[in-house]
Amino acid sequence: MITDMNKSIKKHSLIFLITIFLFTLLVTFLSEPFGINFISTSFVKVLGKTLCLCIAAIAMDVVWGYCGILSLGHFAFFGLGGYMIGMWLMYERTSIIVLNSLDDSQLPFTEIELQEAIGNQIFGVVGGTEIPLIWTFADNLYFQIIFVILIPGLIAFIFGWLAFRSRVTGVYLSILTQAMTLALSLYLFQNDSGLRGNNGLSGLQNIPHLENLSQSTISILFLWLSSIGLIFSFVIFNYIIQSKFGSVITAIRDNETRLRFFGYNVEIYKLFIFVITAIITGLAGAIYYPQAGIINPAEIAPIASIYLAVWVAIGGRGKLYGAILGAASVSLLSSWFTGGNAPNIPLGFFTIEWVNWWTVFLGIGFVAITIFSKGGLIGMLNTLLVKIK
Amino acid sequence: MKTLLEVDNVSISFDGFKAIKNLSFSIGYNELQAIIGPNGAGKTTFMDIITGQTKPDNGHILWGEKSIDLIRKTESEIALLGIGRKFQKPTVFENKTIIDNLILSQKKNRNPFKVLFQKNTKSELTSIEKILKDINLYMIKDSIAGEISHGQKQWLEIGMLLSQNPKLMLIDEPAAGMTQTERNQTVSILKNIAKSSSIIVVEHDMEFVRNLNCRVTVLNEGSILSSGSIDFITQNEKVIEVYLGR
Repeated sequence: MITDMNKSIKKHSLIFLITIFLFTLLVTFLSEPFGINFISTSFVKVLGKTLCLCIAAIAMDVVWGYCGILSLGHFAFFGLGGYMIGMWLMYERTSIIVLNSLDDSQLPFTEIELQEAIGNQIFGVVGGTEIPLIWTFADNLYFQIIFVILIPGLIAFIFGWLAFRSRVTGVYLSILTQAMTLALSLYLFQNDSGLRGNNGLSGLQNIPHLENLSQSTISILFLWLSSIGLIFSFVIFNYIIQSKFGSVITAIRDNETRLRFFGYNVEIYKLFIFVITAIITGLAGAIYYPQAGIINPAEIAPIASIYLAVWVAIGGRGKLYGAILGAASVSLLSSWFTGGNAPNIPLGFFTIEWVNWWTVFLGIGFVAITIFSKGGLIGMLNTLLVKIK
Repeated sequence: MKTLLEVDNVSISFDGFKAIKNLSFSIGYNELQAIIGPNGAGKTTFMDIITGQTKPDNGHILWGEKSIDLIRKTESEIALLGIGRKFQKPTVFENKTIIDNLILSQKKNRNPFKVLFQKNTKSELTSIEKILKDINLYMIKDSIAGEISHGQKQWLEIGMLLSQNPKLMLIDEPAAGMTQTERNQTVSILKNIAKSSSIIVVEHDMEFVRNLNCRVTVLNEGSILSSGSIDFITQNEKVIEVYLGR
């Protein structure tokens, strides 16, 4: 029976992966540069970004839905990933522009002059010209990609080690993760944080050395990158939760005290899951922000991490496709409603403007789903399918 | 008889209330012992101390031939040394199938990086099947553990201990909520286990303890009142007064 179940899970996963692949292919054929120009470049970017959010959502589902750690800080790792890749994008592009303009001037220039010009370009907005120490490796893409993995991983490791070792669990842990997120976001708001304060990093959609490609082509490239990222992280997480390791982490969720008496060092397992999900979330952020074009500390604010939990809860936690369904549907609806596309509803005495009322609507939906369907949207779908059969 | 576990002069108090007072106790290899006592005698606290869930105020707990002191060890380290525990309320993983519960507790490397790639070998599955037959759950091995009866959960938890293969099992009220037939089966399961590992059984039910036919220790208000065979302790006047007299 177990093998039957494994087979059906394997089949579902395969169907899912093929669906993601076909979806990406379809969007490519409907896009402007490679197809019939049915979907605008900005919408391709929305879809690409949605796929990245889905990666963050399945990571959240593994850490919360499977391991029972309600982290309200995973979007901070997403943002950090974005910052790390953003540093290279911004530095490299600025240095190309500065070099071009210096080439136009007749006088030869020194390395110091070059650094000063780049510093002035990037940090003029926060009243500085010096390039901060943390930008030391910003001219090297490979180093920054390593940082995309290393920084979220390291922060998650240190935080997780301290928190799990002290056996902080449940609501207290959630509050602690939220405090970490808030602290990080407040720090990044400082002008002297070295990451341009509340201005954040911008112009990230212009990829250095790909100036010849139009934004529409770049959007398709990133759509594929996002899609491959989602498939890659789905395969990794699906392997983890199907293995004996997955059985251990759901046992941690259900009764970690009992599990200790079977000789499992619960803290190490939690730390492993916390760090790996943080790394994958960071990678997702690194693919997301070049499509968004801008990252600022507001993105890291605790509310973003709460949204992540809301997506997973709405989609259905404890099922990877549940998290993806939740993240995709809610974030797409959210961008539709808040983008001013939804028609306002005049009630005579009062007009429902969706831009403002969407969050209220989302809140009501969230409450309704948690009350009426324990398994979220995917749970509803499953009960519906069973009834039809 | 060689000593497997020696509890040496252990005391603990909670907010001034002395739950365990200068308690000393020992058990040898492959020995079966029972602990009885009225409510609040400190039976569960005693188990908590041995398994590392509660740290005593003073005293030592020495384990095995090397006399390792268990006091500074964590719950999982103590479990890995070879002490298994069954709780008073049967505590199994209710969302998993019976067989998955046994696989989870099976004695194997607990390093997360190893666990990630662990597969069950044929011989391991055979030994799990043998345990399933021993605890009378083979026919329903794919049922969800949350859906079986209370008595079956008790057996499943004992089965999980068997699968963990500890040197010493601490078993808290194994017969609670069982019918007479189930109790008799439990006695034979425990006697069978005692052939290859040590067991400490904590029980309320005097008849059950009598059937185990082993050394009995009576706890009262955190210290030992009497210890010996069941016939010996039931003739002790103090025991009759605090426990049997009620």
